[in-house]
Amino acid sequence: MHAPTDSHWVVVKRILRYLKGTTFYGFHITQGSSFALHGFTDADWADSIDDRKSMGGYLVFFGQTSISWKSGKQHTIIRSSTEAEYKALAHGTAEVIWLQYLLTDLQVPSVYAPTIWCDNLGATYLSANPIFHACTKHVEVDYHFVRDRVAKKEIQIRFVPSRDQLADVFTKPFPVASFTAFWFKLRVDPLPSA
Amino acid sequence: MLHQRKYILDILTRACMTSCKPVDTSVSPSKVTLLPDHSFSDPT
Repeated sequence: MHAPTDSHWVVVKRILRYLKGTTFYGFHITQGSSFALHGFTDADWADSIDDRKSMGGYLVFFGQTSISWKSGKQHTIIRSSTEAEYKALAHGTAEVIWLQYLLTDLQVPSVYAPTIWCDNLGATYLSANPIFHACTKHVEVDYHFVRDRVAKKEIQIRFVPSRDQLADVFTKPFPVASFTAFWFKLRVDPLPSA
Repeated sequence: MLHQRKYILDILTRACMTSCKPVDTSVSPSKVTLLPDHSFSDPT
Protein backbone atom coordinates (compact mmCIF):
# COMPACT_ATOMS: atom_id res chain seq x y z
CA MET A 1 0.00 0.00 0.00
CA HIS A 2 2.92 2.34 0.59
CA ALA A 3 4.36 1.92 -2.94
CA PRO A 4 1.49 1.64 -5.42
CA THR A 5 2.42 0.85 -9.02
CA ASP A 6 0.60 1.02 -12.34
CA SER A 7 -0.16 -2.71 -12.25
CA HIS A 8 -1.79 -2.32 -8.82
CA TRP A 9 -4.01 0.37 -10.34
CA VAL A 10 -4.96 -1.96 -13.21
CA VAL A 11 -6.12 -4.55 -10.65
CA VAL A 12 -8.02 -1.96 -8.60
CA LYS A 13 -9.80 -0.71 -11.73
CA ARG A 14 -10.88 -4.28 -12.47
CA ILE A 15 -12.36 -4.55 -8.94
CA LEU A 16 -14.25 -1.27 -9.47
CA ARG A 17 -15.61 -2.58 -12.79
CA TYR A 18 -16.68 -5.76 -10.98
CA LEU A 19 -18.41 -3.65 -8.30
CA LYS A 20 -20.25 -1.82 -11.06
CA GLY A 21 -21.44 -5.19 -12.39
CA THR A 22 -22.81 -6.13 -8.95
CA THR A 23 -24.73 -2.87 -8.38
CA PHE A 24 -28.11 -4.51 -8.87
CA TYR A 25 -27.41 -7.72 -6.95
CA GLY A 26 -28.02 -8.53 -3.32
CA PHE A 27 -28.12 -11.31 -0.78
CA HIS A 28 -31.33 -13.25 -0.64
CA ILE A 29 -32.32 -13.77 3.00
CA THR A 30 -35.20 -16.17 3.53
CA GLN A 31 -37.07 -17.30 6.58
CA GLY A 32 -36.11 -20.87 7.41
CA SER A 33 -36.78 -23.42 10.09
CA SER A 34 -33.14 -24.34 10.64
CA PHE A 35 -31.07 -22.60 13.32
CA ALA A 36 -27.99 -24.67 12.50
CA LEU A 37 -24.63 -23.09 11.82
CA HIS A 38 -22.35 -24.66 9.28
CA GLY A 39 -19.14 -23.41 7.79
CA PHE A 40 -16.80 -24.03 4.88
CA THR A 41 -13.06 -23.36 5.03
CA ASP A 42 -10.55 -23.55 2.22
CA ALA A 43 -7.06 -22.45 1.27
CA ASP A 44 -5.08 -22.12 -1.92
CA TRP A 45 -1.50 -22.95 -1.09
CA ALA A 46 1.43 -20.65 -2.00
CA ASP A 47 -0.79 -18.85 -4.47
CA SER A 48 0.75 -15.40 -4.34
CA ILE A 49 3.39 -14.90 -7.04
CA ASP A 50 4.93 -12.01 -5.08
CA ASP A 51 5.67 -13.72 -1.78
CA ARG A 52 4.28 -17.28 -2.01
CA LYS A 53 1.89 -16.75 0.86
CA SER A 54 -1.35 -18.74 0.69
CA MET A 55 -4.89 -17.49 0.37
CA GLY A 56 -7.41 -18.64 2.94
CA GLY A 57 -11.14 -18.17 3.23
CA TYR A 58 -14.22 -19.23 5.11
CA LEU A 59 -17.97 -18.98 4.72
CA VAL A 60 -20.58 -19.52 7.44
CA PHE A 61 -24.25 -20.31 6.90
CA PHE A 62 -27.02 -19.80 9.45
CA GLY A 63 -29.68 -22.17 8.17
CA GLN A 64 -29.96 -21.42 4.44
CA THR A 65 -28.43 -17.97 4.60
CA SER A 66 -24.74 -17.13 4.37
CA ILE A 67 -24.04 -14.66 7.18
CA SER A 68 -20.27 -14.39 7.49
CA TRP A 69 -17.34 -14.82 5.13
CA LYS A 70 -13.74 -13.85 4.69
CA SER A 71 -11.10 -14.00 2.02
CA GLY A 72 -7.53 -13.06 2.79
CA LYS A 73 -3.88 -13.74 2.33
CA GLN A 74 -2.42 -15.75 5.21
CA HIS A 75 0.09 -13.80 7.27
CA THR A 76 2.90 -16.33 7.28
CA ILE A 77 4.43 -18.39 4.49
CA ILE A 78 3.19 -21.96 4.82
CA ARG A 79 5.24 -24.88 3.59
CA SER A 80 2.52 -27.47 3.03
CA SER A 81 -0.97 -27.34 1.60
CA THR A 82 -2.42 -29.24 4.55
CA GLU A 83 -0.92 -26.69 6.91
CA ALA A 84 -2.48 -23.85 4.87
CA GLU A 85 -5.84 -25.66 4.98
CA TYR A 86 -5.44 -26.23 8.69
CA LYS A 87 -4.76 -22.55 9.29
CA ALA A 88 -7.91 -21.67 7.32
CA LEU A 89 -9.78 -24.26 9.38
CA ALA A 90 -8.60 -22.62 12.60
CA HIS A 91 -9.79 -19.18 11.43
CA GLY A 92 -13.15 -20.63 10.34
CA THR A 93 -13.50 -22.46 13.65
CA ALA A 94 -12.89 -19.26 15.62
CA GLU A 95 -15.61 -17.50 13.60
CA VAL A 96 -18.14 -20.33 13.97
CA ILE A 97 -17.54 -20.54 17.73
CA TRP A 98 -17.97 -16.79 18.11
CA LEU A 99 -21.25 -16.94 16.16
CA GLN A 100 -22.36 -19.88 18.31
CA TYR A 101 -21.75 -17.81 21.47
CA LEU A 102 -23.66 -14.92 19.92
CA LEU A 103 -26.63 -17.19 19.15
CA THR A 104 -26.54 -18.52 22.71
CA ASP A 105 -26.62 -14.94 24.03
CA LEU A 106 -29.64 -14.29 21.80
CA GLN A 107 -31.34 -17.38 23.30
CA VAL A 108 -31.34 -19.22 19.97
CA PRO A 109 -31.44 -22.93 20.71
CA SER A 110 -28.70 -25.07 19.19
CA VAL A 111 -29.33 -28.78 18.98
CA TYR A 112 -26.30 -29.91 17.02
CA ALA A 113 -22.68 -28.85 17.14
CA PRO A 114 -21.90 -26.73 14.06
CA THR A 115 -20.27 -28.61 11.18
CA ILE A 116 -17.28 -27.23 9.32
CA TRP A 117 -16.63 -28.62 5.85
CA CYS A 118 -13.07 -28.87 4.67
CA ASP A 119 -11.85 -30.32 1.35
CA ASN A 120 -8.42 -31.39 2.62
CA LEU A 121 -8.39 -34.90 4.08
CA GLY A 122 -5.10 -34.29 5.88
CA ALA A 123 -6.56 -31.32 7.76
CA THR A 124 -9.71 -33.25 8.74
CA TYR A 125 -7.56 -36.12 10.06
CA LEU A 126 -5.39 -33.70 12.04
CA SER A 127 -8.49 -32.26 13.70
CA ALA A 128 -9.69 -35.71 14.82
CA ASN A 129 -6.51 -37.56 15.63
CA PRO A 130 -5.07 -37.00 19.11
CA ILE A 131 -1.58 -37.91 17.90
CA PHE A 132 0.39 -34.75 17.29
CA HIS A 133 1.64 -34.56 13.69
CA ALA A 134 2.76 -31.03 13.26
CA CYS A 135 6.21 -29.88 14.23
CA THR A 136 6.25 -26.11 14.39
CA LYS A 137 4.90 -23.89 17.09
CA HIS A 138 2.42 -21.80 15.08
CA VAL A 139 0.80 -24.97 13.69
CA GLU A 140 0.75 -26.36 17.19
CA VAL A 141 -1.37 -23.46 18.45
CA ASP A 142 -3.90 -23.81 15.61
CA TYR A 143 -3.85 -27.56 16.05
CA HIS A 144 -4.60 -27.44 19.76
CA PHE A 145 -7.31 -24.83 19.29
CA VAL A 146 -9.29 -26.82 16.70
CA ARG A 147 -8.60 -30.18 18.36
CA ASP A 148 -9.81 -28.84 21.69
CA ARG A 149 -13.14 -27.66 20.20
CA VAL A 150 -13.63 -30.97 18.39
CA ALA A 151 -12.84 -32.94 21.56
CA LYS A 152 -15.37 -30.86 23.51
CA LYS A 153 -17.91 -31.60 20.73
CA GLU A 154 -18.44 -27.87 20.17
CA ILE A 155 -17.82 -28.35 16.44
CA GLN A 156 -17.49 -31.21 13.98
CA ILE A 157 -15.08 -31.24 11.06
CA ARG A 158 -16.23 -33.11 7.96
CA PHE A 159 -14.71 -33.73 4.57
CA VAL A 160 -16.34 -32.22 1.49
CA PRO A 161 -15.15 -32.84 -2.12
CA SER A 162 -13.53 -29.79 -3.71
CA ARG A 163 -16.38 -29.44 -6.25
CA ASP A 164 -18.80 -28.81 -3.36
CA GLN A 165 -16.43 -26.58 -1.42
CA LEU A 166 -18.23 -23.22 -1.31
CA ALA A 167 -15.30 -21.38 0.29
CA ASP A 168 -13.20 -22.13 -2.83
CA VAL A 169 -14.43 -18.88 -4.37
CA PHE A 170 -12.61 -16.93 -1.62
CA THR A 171 -9.20 -18.44 -2.34
CA LYS A 172 -8.52 -18.12 -6.07
CA PRO A 173 -9.71 -16.57 -9.34
CA PHE A 174 -12.34 -18.43 -11.38
CA PRO A 175 -13.62 -18.22 -14.96
CA VAL A 176 -16.98 -16.48 -15.34
CA ALA A 177 -19.14 -19.64 -15.52
CA SER A 178 -17.78 -21.20 -12.32
CA PHE A 179 -17.65 -17.85 -10.53
CA THR A 180 -21.30 -17.04 -11.21
CA ALA A 181 -22.25 -20.59 -10.17
CA PHE A 182 -20.95 -19.59 -6.71
CA TRP A 183 -23.28 -16.57 -6.76
CA PHE A 184 -26.19 -18.94 -7.10
CA LYS A 185 -24.97 -21.18 -4.27
CA LEU A 186 -24.32 -18.20 -2.00
CA ARG A 187 -27.81 -16.92 -2.83
CA VAL A 188 -26.71 -13.75 -4.54
CA ASP A 189 -29.66 -12.68 -6.69
CA PRO A 190 -30.65 -9.70 -8.86
CA LEU A 191 -32.53 -7.03 -6.90
CA PRO A 192 -36.30 -7.18 -7.58
CA SER A 193 -36.47 -3.55 -8.75
CA ALA A 194 -33.70 -4.05 -11.33
CA MET B 1 -32.78 -8.68 -0.08
CA LEU B 2 -29.63 -7.25 1.44
CA HIS B 3 -27.60 -5.06 -0.91
CA GLN B 4 -24.96 -2.32 -0.89
CA ARG B 5 -26.02 -0.37 -3.95
CA LYS B 6 -25.52 3.03 -2.35
CA TYR B 7 -21.97 2.19 -1.20
CA ILE B 8 -21.07 0.86 -4.65
CA LEU B 9 -22.37 4.01 -6.36
CA ASP B 10 -20.52 6.23 -3.84
CA ILE B 11 -17.21 4.44 -4.47
CA LEU B 12 -17.66 4.52 -8.26
CA THR B 13 -18.51 8.23 -8.11
CA ARG B 14 -15.40 8.93 -6.04
CA ALA B 15 -13.24 7.06 -8.57
CA CYS B 16 -14.99 8.79 -11.52
CA MET B 17 -15.91 5.34 -12.85
CA THR B 18 -19.71 5.44 -12.78
CA SER B 19 -19.89 4.83 -16.55
CA CYS B 20 -17.19 2.14 -16.74
CA LYS B 21 -17.78 -1.18 -18.49
CA PRO B 22 -18.79 -3.82 -15.93
CA VAL B 23 -17.05 -7.23 -15.66
CA ASP B 24 -18.38 -10.49 -14.20
CA THR B 25 -15.41 -11.46 -12.02
CA SER B 26 -13.22 -9.46 -9.63
CA VAL B 27 -9.91 -11.02 -10.68
CA SER B 28 -8.75 -12.36 -14.03
CA PRO B 29 -8.28 -16.15 -13.90
CA SER B 30 -5.35 -16.05 -16.31
CA LYS B 31 -1.96 -16.15 -14.62
CA VAL B 32 -0.40 -12.77 -14.06
CA THR B 33 3.19 -12.34 -15.15
CA LEU B 34 5.49 -10.09 -13.21
CA LEU B 35 6.67 -7.25 -15.42
CA PRO B 36 8.98 -4.37 -14.64
CA ASP B 37 6.63 -1.87 -13.07
CA HIS B 38 6.38 1.88 -12.65
CA SER B 39 5.31 3.69 -9.53
CA PHE B 40 1.78 4.96 -9.80
CA SER B 41 2.02 8.63 -10.72
CA ASP B 42 -0.72 9.89 -8.40
CA PRO B 43 -1.00 7.71 -5.28
CA THR B 44 -3.62 9.98 -3.67
